[in-house]
Amino acid sequence: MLPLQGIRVLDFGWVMAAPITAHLMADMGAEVIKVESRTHLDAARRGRPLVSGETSDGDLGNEPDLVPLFHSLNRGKLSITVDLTHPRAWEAIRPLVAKTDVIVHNLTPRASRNLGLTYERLAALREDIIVVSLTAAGQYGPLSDISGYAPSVSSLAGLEGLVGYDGEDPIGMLGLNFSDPNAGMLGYLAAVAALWHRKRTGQGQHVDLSQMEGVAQYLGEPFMEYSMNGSVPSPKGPYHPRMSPYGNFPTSEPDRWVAIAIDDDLDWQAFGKVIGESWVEDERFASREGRMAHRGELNQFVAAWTGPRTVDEIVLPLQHANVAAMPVMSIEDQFADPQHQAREVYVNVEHPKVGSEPIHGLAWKMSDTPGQVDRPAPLLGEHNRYVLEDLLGFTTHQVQDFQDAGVLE
Amino acid sequence: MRVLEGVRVVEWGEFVSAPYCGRILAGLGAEVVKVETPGSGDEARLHGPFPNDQPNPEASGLFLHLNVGKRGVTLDPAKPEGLALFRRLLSETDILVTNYRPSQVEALGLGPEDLLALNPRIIAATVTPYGWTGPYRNLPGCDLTVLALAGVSFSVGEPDREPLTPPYFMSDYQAGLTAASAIMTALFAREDTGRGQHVDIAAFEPWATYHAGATVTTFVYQGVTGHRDGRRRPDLYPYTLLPCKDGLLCLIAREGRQWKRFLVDVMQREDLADHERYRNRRVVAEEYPEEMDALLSPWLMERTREEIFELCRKHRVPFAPVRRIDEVLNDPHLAERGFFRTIDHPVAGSLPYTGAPFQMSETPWSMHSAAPTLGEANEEVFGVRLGCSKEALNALQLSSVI
Repeated sequence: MLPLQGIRVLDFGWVMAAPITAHLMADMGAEVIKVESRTHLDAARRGRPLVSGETSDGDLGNEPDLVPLFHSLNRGKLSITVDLTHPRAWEAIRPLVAKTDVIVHNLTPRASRNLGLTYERLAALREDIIVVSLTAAGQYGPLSDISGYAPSVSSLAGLEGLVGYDGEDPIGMLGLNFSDPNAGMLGYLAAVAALWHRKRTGQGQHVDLSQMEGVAQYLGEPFMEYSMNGSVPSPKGPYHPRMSPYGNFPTSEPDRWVAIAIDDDLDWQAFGKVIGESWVEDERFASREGRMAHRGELNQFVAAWTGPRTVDEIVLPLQHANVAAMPVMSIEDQFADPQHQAREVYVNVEHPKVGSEPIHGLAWKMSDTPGQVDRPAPLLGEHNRYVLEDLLGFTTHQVQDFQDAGVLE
Repeated sequence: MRVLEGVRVVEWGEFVSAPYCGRILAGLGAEVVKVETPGSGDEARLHGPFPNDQPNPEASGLFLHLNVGKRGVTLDPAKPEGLALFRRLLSETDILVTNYRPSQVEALGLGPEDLLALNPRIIAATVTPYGWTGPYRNLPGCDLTVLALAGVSFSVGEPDREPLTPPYFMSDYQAGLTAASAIMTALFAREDTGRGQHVDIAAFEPWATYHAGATVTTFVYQGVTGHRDGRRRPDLYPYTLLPCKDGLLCLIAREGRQWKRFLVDVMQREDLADHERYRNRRVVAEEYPEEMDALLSPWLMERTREEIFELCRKHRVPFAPVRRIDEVLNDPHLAERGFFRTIDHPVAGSLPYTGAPFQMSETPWSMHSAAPTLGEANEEVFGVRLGCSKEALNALQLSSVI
């Protein structure tokens, strides 16, 4: 059984955040219809194409069915193209909304108003609708007009400024785009919570998700540091106030590193047995407090031990001794890793233009209602006919008329 | 009405992942009973930060932050009377969330299958570094090793230096969030099936899946293995942090028109916007990003973050200041939205706490009480709810079962 079977979702999302909410709902069995347009192509449909095609062409949006980011974030969805700025767009959107349970989008409040996608208007078409709005800073408040990308939102929330080497200026973690998938999962949680509430009460609602708040809520520890002691936290590199050694250490292999974390004295003794050098006997390192007080020096000893060894020579004996150690993996390492394989982190789907394509699996394992990842991302407008004719009951003639008028661009 | 009004949760875990999951469920209105080890309690009580840097297990900032809105009991399930009491508690609960290792949980006969045999409607959520199955299931792990395995650390830091890792235990929080989402899904499904189930969260999987899923496709098809790029992304200009007069500014423009608005309307440098050498932003990013940085730098260094932010907002350019923690805490926008909420705690006093991760129009977020002191609700939960007599409670306390 699929837990969200029978739930219909419209994804008016763009790039990452809302599309991730909708993809998680598709994984759990919802029918997700992505409403997109050639006139305002999803930025995730632009970029270097997966097969054939030129990068520059892809950057211009000429290969919309071949961009890997889009495939990843939109698997299992249906696609219809409707130009929402077309004067007749709502002839198609209105009956679709009436048949929809959940709408997700990451438009700014201004864009939602301009396109007519406000909660009030949508709820007038279907009273118990659930609308999940993912925005940079929320639906109201002095910053609610801003738009932003994931790292700009987490810059405002205080996170990016905390990422950096110990004692140096922040460098952030721009490559992760942390705030988008984070908001995507928060949006999923809110959507299912709202569905559960609707099931119990019949009531729909509007979810106002500010990505800035979605990030700031994780920073309780540094906020407490400031509130309690007035000190403003800055980057510390990999850091844990109770663990030392703790860090990513070098190996003899080029750009390969190992993460090692030592918690209590038992860990330290097990670690010392594997190392077998004189410095592990140093009394200063015998207690947690001592290891914390001398953590800089200790990290240097560890790096000197790991430096001439391969990843396996370091990690395997440490793991065997029950010490927390792990290679710092690239995607190449992850793809070959037995834990990723055993848990089916990557699975294959058949894409009509690419063939068998590896794609990420489910975010969780549920024993009774596991969900599914077995359908590829849709081609642009692939399901126009299904949605307009089969679902909404327009005739072929009417659909052709929409087409000719440019509504379906 | 709260979303999870009437739903009972037992949280049996420590540090961040399971407690953060419990915090979300409490925020959605569930009644969360937090089970701690008698005497020592959750290790987050030792973590800090502490007021005036004086360690105190009732005033650890991390613990206070993670455990608002819960009831706290102490119970040692390794003792037979403790196990019996725990099983009684679990037989009448809707949800269990734990982050102990599989070997620890199974040794006590409290694995998901045992719990489903005890209570077929229970949703048993296990949150572990590497998951309940697979060859690494019992390996020790923490945030740092999880983010190493997940391919995250590899991409954070300078290209020619050691990898960093996201700060403040982000993988534990992400695992807790993912657990809450899966639990919510299982509750929704239970309305139809009448059955509970095992929810198995591996802390590395959120990152490997919905965070960075596309990397597997580009690796297999294009051989892209990724790397660290310091404070920029190498495929598009601008996608970087750059210094200005009083700190760093985050400059990202995916759309050409945003970048043009910055150069022409904000900086008033039409010449740069029209310049042949800077027209292809992928080429600028790949070949000479520092040259472009240097052209912006004099203008940036004359202005503060907030001055630039204001100009950019006026011209709809999505650049943003890199804010410090004190600036976020005092942000008027967050104040107007009521994001931080002040809660009083008997030991730590009155402090601001981060609030709801999202606002729901019909079902408000619940955050009324501070984190529990150790064993605060023993009498309420074991006495009133499970019917233990005063004498029995005293005996359990004397033998350190509770």
